[in-house]
Amino acid sequence: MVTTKYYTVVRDRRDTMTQKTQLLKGLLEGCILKIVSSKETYGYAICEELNSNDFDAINEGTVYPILTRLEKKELIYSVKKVSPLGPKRKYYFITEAGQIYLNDFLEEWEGMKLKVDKILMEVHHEE
Amino acid sequence: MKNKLSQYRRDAVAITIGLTALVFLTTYIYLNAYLKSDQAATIIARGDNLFMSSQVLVAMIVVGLSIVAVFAVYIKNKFRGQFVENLNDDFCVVFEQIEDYVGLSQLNRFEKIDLKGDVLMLFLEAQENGKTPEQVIGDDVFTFVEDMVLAYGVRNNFMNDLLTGLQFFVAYLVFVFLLLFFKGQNTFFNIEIDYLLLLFFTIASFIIIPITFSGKRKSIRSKHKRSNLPYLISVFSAIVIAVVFIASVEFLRSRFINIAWVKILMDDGVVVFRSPIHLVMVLSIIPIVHVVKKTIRRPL
Repeated sequence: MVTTKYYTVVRDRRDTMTQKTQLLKGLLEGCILKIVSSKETYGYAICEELNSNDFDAINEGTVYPILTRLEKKELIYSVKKVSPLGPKRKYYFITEAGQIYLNDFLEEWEGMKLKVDKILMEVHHEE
Repeated sequence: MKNKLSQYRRDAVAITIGLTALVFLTTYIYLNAYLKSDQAATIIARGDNLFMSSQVLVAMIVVGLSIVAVFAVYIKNKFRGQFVENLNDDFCVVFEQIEDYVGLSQLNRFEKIDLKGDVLMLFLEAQENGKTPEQVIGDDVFTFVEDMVLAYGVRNNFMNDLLTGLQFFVAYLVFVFLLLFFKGQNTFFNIEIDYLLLLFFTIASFIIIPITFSGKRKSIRSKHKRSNLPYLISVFSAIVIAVVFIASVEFLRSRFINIAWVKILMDDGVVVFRSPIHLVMVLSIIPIVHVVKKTIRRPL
């Protein structure tokens, strides 16, 4: 009985973690698209930019799969250019579809942010 | 770092020498057998130029293409070494693990090269900035590779394996026809292939290959301790299927040869390529299936 309860708690916690990760990945897609839309950039530099904007826990292992996924969805495209380190470096650019996706994301994010802030403020006042 | 460089170059040179020797040995054996054959004697007796006969010309084309392929392998190894040599030992070990995992994944050849190129560039940049592999991709190499592979799209493994089987089926077919053509018993567009051989290719392509691929996938999924057991079991199953097939054929031949369909299966054959158009149509299945496989992937 205790074991079942323990596993239920662990499973619920894992599901919450997965949801959190999915939510974060969704938000990161938007953030990365915004960075790519603003200038010519590459994977490592995108990660550095996220880190410098307080996304400390984000490492390259999270950013690179997202970049590949965005490229496969044709929201961004890449051009290989010579790098001082040897192999060619991929520079990313936003596509037209990517720009539309980004605008939708920004709109949705603004709406969601307002709703969440509203609820948080109301609950805070009630307390 | 010097040691690593020389190791990659040594590997490249060893592979090149080995493959070149294999190509020349095969060609020597083939040409030696052909030049002593009755067919060659007939051509010489007719006073025709033996080296302009289709068998010798095709052999020369195969040799030429093989040499090009061997040098492509050499150049690939050499350049891979040139860039990997710049990684320190920590990154190098992780990169080699990633290469292993990616090699077992179901990405196609170009995607594998693309993915490994991305990772190599990432590691070089991270190293330049004083990071460790753990800081870049975390503790679990497999999870990172799986994320990267999944980023290329999610596949329906069953459908993908069947389509890969179809590609193998075409490749087997063309290979056997080329072999029969080299034996020189007929013109290319008049060669018959046994129904039994076709049945075996069907089993190999659509049953044995999917089973071994599934075993490979199960092996790579064991995260912390990569076990080869599922893969070994799948290879063993494939061997069992092949043995059962051969035993069944012998059983049918000994007991039921009087039944009409058994007799046809055992003794008759079919001409698959009746004209160059048939050949082109069958060969075009390989690139078409390649495109279909890419198309049926679901983006994440």
